[in-house]
Amino acid sequence: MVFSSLIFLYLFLPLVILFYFACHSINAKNWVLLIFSLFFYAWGEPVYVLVLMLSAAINYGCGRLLGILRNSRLSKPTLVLTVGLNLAILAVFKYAGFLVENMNHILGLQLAVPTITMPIGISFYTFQALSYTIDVYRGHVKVQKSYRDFLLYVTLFPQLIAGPIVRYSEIEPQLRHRVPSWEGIFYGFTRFCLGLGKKVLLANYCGKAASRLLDGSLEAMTTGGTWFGILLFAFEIYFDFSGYSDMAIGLGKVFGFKYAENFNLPYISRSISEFWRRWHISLSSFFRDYVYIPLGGNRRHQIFNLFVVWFLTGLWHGASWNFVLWGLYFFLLIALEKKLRVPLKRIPAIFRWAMTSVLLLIGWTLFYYTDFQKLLGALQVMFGLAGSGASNGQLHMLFVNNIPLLLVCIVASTPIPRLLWLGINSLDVDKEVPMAKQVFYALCVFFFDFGLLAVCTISLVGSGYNPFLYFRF
Amino acid sequence: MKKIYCALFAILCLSLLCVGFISLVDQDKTVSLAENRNLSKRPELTLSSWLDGSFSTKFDTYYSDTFPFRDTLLGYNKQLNRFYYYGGSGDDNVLTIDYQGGAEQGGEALNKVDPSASDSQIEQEEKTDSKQETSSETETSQPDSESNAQKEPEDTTSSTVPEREYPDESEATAINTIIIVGDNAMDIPTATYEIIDKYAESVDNLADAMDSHVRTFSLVTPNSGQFYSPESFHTGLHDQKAMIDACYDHMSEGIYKVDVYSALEQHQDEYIFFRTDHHWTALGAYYAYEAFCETAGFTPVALSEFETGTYENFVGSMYTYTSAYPQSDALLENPDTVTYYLPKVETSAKYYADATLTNGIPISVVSTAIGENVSNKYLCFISGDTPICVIDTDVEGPTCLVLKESYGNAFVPFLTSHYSKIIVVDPREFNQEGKPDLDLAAFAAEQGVDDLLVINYPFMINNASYIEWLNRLVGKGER
Repeated sequence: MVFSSLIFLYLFLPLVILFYFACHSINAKNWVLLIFSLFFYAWGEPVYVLVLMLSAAINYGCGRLLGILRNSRLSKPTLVLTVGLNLAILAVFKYAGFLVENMNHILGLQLAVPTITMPIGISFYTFQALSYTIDVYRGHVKVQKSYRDFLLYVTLFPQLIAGPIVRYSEIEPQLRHRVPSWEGIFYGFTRFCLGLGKKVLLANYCGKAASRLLDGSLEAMTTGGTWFGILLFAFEIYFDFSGYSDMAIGLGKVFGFKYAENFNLPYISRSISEFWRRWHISLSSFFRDYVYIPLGGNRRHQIFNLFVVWFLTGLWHGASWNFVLWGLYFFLLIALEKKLRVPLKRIPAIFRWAMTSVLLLIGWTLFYYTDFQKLLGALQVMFGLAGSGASNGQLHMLFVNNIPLLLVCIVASTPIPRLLWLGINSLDVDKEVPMAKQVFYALCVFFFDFGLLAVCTISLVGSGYNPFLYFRF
Repeated sequence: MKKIYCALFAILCLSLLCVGFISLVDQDKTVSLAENRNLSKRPELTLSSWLDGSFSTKFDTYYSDTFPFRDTLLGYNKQLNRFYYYGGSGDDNVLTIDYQGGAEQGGEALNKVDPSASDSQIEQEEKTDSKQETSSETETSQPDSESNAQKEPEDTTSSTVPEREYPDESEATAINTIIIVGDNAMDIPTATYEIIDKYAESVDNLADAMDSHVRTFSLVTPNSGQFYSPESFHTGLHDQKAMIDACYDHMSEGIYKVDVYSALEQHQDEYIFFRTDHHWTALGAYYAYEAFCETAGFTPVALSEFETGTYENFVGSMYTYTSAYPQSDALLENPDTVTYYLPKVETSAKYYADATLTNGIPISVVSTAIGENVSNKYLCFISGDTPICVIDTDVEGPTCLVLKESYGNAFVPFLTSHYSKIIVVDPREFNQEGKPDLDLAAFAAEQGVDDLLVINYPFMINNASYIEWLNRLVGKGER
């Protein structure tokens, strides 16, 4: 199930909230969350829900084992085996086709390419489960004795499908003890509505327009149109992904969980390194803590470590070479930024921002096209080496149609909405504010939520509008 | 304060819950008039439908299709689209959208089949026109509407594409661009030259299968996009002149190629295409007929010699496609007029479900009695799309066979002045699953056909499925 669907909004969500708040004991609440979470996953993946439970069982079991074997010689092999198993599951379900294809290509084999559809969210939950096992080995967290609680940690529906990649160490105390405030719940719900709005009202429309500009035949593409298309795609992926994170964080808050922030206005970054401190923070910190630092971090062979991290980051995003290329592109840029730190600093911030933005758009081009031929062609068009000129009437019309959307996306990527939001939200902590004002703000937010839900519903219903020319009974 | 937050949160959740509750207990609509289609029905939950994921997918569609107050919400969505599809400032009213679907994969017919005519002919029942049905007829056509409901809109093209292993399947799912400029809506074809070559070859195949004395004519027409769209919509890959030239160049010498393009281009300032519909007007078809006569060696009847009539307030398919966007209001406010030209000779016409030519149902070559309740006035020409339609005239002349989609409908009536018999075949209605077989070569020989006319508009020469159906008529299909 996805958040941005009518079924989720009008059946699943109110029911899970109803049952959750009807229960008093934390034990019962956890059962409600677990059962609903498993149903949530099974709705889209009726079979692969078993893979999810198996993955959780493996890590749970190994955690127990590591608890017993602590300080013995067997603990390291156990960890290696578990990590291997996790990666094997990921390899089979996400990378099997890709691996076999490449083996055929390199070794000249004729192996049948398996067509396994990837279980949704597998990259997220595998990493979550993995972080637990490694942390147990390192002694950072205690062993979880209850399979149910561990499964709940992995499957909690707010973050199950699209992150953020939550660390067990953050969630562990909250599994048994949560003290939510009604304020937190209300503003958590608001955060959910905001995320829903980002996804439904911005990302979806950006995506539609972007694919019109980027999926056509190369001959018909224009330089302006391709840049515009990639810009729309950049907005699509940002509002889609950060919208999901907002919804996860917000829903987490409703159920009393506190998740770390995952996005922090990435498009205002003035360098690529800054971008990656602001974009999908839970992923970069995962690679930092579990790959980069164990490899030696910046203390030894830093460039090699960076290379490994960015190779893996790329590969994590999808089983296709263009994602690896995309990762290595960032490796190159970040390595360059490290070398050129001093001269770069002398450039005015606005130019650094512009440069970063252009580099990011080129990055998103690498990300967008999984087909290398198409990618190469698109890049040529972007730099005026192919395609049908700079612009044309089609682009003009599409641009006119999308002007309002574009403006909203630009504003929404800046700190302006956050400043507005903080203006209201600061009341949350500032107890000095008079009661009447607090009520007024809460009511404003309430109507804002209401309106946002209504507009999202209209858009979701509208997306099912399918006029049919020939109606035959 | 705590209580206020609690109350506000509770109100939000309860409103969601209420709507959810209504959505489960309310009466589901089965038909959407605005969209011209059946809505999905609640799928049945079985172990296998759950495990293969089809239950949840279908339930999602069903839930969205039957959401409470859907029609009202769709109305609001049109308003919302003022923001997402900004029409420009001042008097500008521009829109460009993609429409994925098989506009011409199926046809629409005017006449309703007499239920007593045949109860085993599924394809005839399918021809029942929705616009004319009364409430009691809705019930009688229930079994069929169920099978139709299975077809999810996105699947329409693929479900009409014959087989999975079909080589050009991906290309058959063409994406149409529809644009509105002011009050003129146009659909813009995109050339795939490999497919156009195949179309030319399919016409060759048809010609080869005919007796040696049969003349084969090819008429490929442009549509309105070629003449009235902004430049980039009729140049490059959208240049219909280039498509037609490429198509004719690829055809063998022996085919008579009718230069419909020049004929229409000369008259582009006249009312030769509808603005709210994707078809040409009868006047446009007349200029094509003039060009045909020149190629075929006939003397065309002068336009002034026809008795004419009109239907006002025709709002066609282009409006249906774009009705979710505010720009379409300009189409609704400025409807088209259908002018028809009555045949100058005595005609009698019937249509049939298959090549056995039994159980014919009488139709008019040009109907002068289409009611206000039929919105698609273009159906006045040979009663819309029927599998086979045979027109007998009192002219002493040869026999012709016309292969066409709906573009041919406005053209066929003009042929009555020159042929004693005109047989019109819609290739989309034969040699597929659930449809009758037709061996065109044998059929043509049996009917004593002298001329074969293949008339299509640009979307068809770029449509691999249509070409496959043409080829299958003479046993040259790839399947």
